Amino acid sequence: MGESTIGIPASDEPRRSGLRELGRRLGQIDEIGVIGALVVLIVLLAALVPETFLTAQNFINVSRQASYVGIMAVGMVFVIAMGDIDLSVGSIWMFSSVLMAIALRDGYAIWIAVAVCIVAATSCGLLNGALSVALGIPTIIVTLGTLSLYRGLGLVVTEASPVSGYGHDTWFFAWIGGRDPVFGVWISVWVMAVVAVFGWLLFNRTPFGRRVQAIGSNVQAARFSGIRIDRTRLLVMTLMGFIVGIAAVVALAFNRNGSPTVGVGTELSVIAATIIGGTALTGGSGSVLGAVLGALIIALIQNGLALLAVPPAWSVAVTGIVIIVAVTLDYLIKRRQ
Amino acid sequence: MHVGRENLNDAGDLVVEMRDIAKRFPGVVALDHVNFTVRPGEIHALVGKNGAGKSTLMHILTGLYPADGGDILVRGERIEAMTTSRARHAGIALVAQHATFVPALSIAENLATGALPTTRSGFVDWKRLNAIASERMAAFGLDIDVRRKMENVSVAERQMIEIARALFADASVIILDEPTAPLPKHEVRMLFEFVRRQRERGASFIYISHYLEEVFALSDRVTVLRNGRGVGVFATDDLTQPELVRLISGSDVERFRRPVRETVGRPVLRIAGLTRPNVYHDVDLTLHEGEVVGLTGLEGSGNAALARGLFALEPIGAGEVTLDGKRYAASRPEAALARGVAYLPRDRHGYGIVGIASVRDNISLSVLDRLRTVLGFLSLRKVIGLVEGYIRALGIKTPSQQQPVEFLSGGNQQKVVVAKLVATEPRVLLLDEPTQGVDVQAKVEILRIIDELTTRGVAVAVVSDELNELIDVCDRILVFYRGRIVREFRKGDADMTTAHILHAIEGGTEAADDAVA
Ligand SMILES: Nc1ncnc2c1ncn2[C@@H]1O[C@H](COP(=O)(O)OP(=O)(O)OP(=O)(O)O)[C@@H](O)[C@H]1O
Ligand SMILES: [Mg+2]
Repeated sequence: MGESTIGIPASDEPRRSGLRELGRRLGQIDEIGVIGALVVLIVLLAALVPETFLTAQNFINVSRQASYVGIMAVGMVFVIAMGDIDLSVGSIWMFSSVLMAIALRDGYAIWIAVAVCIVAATSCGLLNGALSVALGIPTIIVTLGTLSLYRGLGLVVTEASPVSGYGHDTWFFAWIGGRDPVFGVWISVWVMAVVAVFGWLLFNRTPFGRRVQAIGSNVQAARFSGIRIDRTRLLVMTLMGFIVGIAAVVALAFNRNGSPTVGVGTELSVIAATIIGGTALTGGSGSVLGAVLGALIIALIQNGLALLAVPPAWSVAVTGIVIIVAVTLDYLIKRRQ
Repeated sequence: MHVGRENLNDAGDLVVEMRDIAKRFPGVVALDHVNFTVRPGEIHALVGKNGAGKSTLMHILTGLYPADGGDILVRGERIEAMTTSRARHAGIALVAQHATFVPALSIAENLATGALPTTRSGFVDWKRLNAIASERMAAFGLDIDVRRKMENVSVAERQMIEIARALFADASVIILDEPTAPLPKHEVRMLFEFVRRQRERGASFIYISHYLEEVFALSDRVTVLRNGRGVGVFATDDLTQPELVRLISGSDVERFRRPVRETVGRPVLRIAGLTRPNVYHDVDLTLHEGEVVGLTGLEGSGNAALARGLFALEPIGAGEVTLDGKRYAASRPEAALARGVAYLPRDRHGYGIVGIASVRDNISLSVLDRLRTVLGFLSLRKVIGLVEGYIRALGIKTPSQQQPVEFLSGGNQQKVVVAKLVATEPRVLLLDEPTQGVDVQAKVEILRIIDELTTRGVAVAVVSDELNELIDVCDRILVFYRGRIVREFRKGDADMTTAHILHAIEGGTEAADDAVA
């Protein structure tokens, strides 16, 4: 005994200069890749289109555009870290928000309409989880189905046309759909911040978050460790639905009318934001902060391309390229360590 | 020490020569100027404690990791910057512990590796495919039906097929990294015979194992690594097992023998008339507080299935099972754990560890709910305290609690899994081959931990076919034969010897025992 079985510690590293040390410290921050990309993007756009990009108004708008995807990406971190995926978030968003609009149109009180939205979205998530657990099929398959199911139901109840016919001069549209009077930031951005803080705590500081990551890392080992896989999966998919509900409420407050075309393809932006943020598709770990920053990156790219007068169709293609670059960089950095 | 160090250079031509190989990982010197050679047509054993650097050395030879320094020569030719494809071209092949075959395809399809022969109309020519594959297997003395699906092939057969495939692709050096760890004993014999036959035809083997009996049975020479340094190269015949143990660990490893403990407590787990058709029949078994009971038998004799059944991994069957006097019927592993029944799985990588997670996350995983603050958040202080306690109690060697478990050596990984189980404070601990892939010294430590647990009143059942270890640690050994418990050996009985137990394992009756003695 007494002899090390893990090998001999490496001899003392040469002393590093202050700058090197700073570099090393920064390198240890998990989200350093996303933060770096964000900084590069901002500097680039500031250089290319300074007069339109570098305005307070523009930043405020970009952050609002990022906020819906950012809110949903917080939920997606749990889903992907568990080794699952949810392709139905865009459809849940659309379905729950048109139901909310219908409730408003039919004269229900605002808090009832909000409850309808949240309950509908949460139920959609619960159904995703329940189907996956009960039938034993992967969530990617289940949500591929419910992606069409929820959107289809939304089209049925709206007869494929926008839902309107209610007044917008209530506190709800004015306040939730507006800006906060002190900083001038959209309320949806504050909502994203609050969701992110709660998400971060839940993911990093609770037994639930640990279990989610353990399942994503090695589902068999998690089972052998007494973790209730089915229950955790059900909870995570339900949580995803609930968070989409929150995003749907704040988005409707801004958009005012219920639109049957909202959220088309949003699932891809949400998944992209999560992956850009450093959550590995293979599961096992994730970053809530990274996902929110990832949503910001996507919004900034779209904003930048618009300012550069690039046709909108191109911005979709560029977003794809950015995802590939971001994920590759992240992989290369992690592998070097 | 009277063991001579062989002159490395008198061997004539060498197939592989590794000189001054160095490799460090963050915080660890894995290899410190190691030399290693392989002669044509020899079986060369590579031994050392967990974490000594054996696998790392082989990963460098096969180009999986770049070396930090040193030279690699294959048949006298220096190979710059080894890569996996250069290694393959040089004729070096690694038989992985985990399957590299497609399970749903037939053996023949797997052997064809994508280059399926086709008929003139462009469809797969099954006849020709199977004929070629059969012929190839026959050329290596393997008589198997190549139409069988890979998933129905036993682990030993799979390894032999993999060796044959490599040899067919002109490999001349085959690396076997702990090939026998997942194998039942009779398959080990089959594999060894095959390996010897291929040696006769001129192939060289590098053979890594913690089973020293196997090293002596199989190898021509042995290279010993210790803490990343080469200790020496020896002709196997010049060594004795105790000498080799000393070379490996740098000190004497004392065999651990659990003292006879008179104070076996109350019955904890009682099984009466338990039957699962075709698996086990009429099992009667009682585990007492503070007792260690060995369950042994041939593969498929029911002992391992019983343990898995008790942990609700498989159906348990019909019969009476009580835990602390109350009916016990767990439907899922978490329910078993909640009742105080914990299980150590055989396949550490598949089931035991959450590889990418840290030592801390692994040890605390099963008891997270106990480590919360009033608000429901994890208390870092409680987590660190718990983990520190087990790291110390079990002597887990890790640079920090944050170290990912996959970077620990095998023995320490196993201790992490044990710590995770012990943290649940079980009443009954079921261990399936707990010393698998673990070095001589760590084996002894694990046996000591088992003994230590019983002093806290835990009832332990060990499923294993390592008879020497069972004899050292168990109060009783129950022998399963074709699903029935056929013999019980008790500590202190004169007949608790490997010979007698082996006899019973193979179906011998008590009356015929004299033949053994
Ligand atoms: N990828 C890695 N990153 C960091 N450290 C590593 C890595 N691979 C191995 N190590 C460390 O290098 C040392 C040698 O490990 P190696 O796997 O070669 O040991 P081994 O002799 O094969 O042990 P075992 O018998 O347990 O398989 C150990 O201290 C191990 O923790
Ligand atoms: Mg190894």
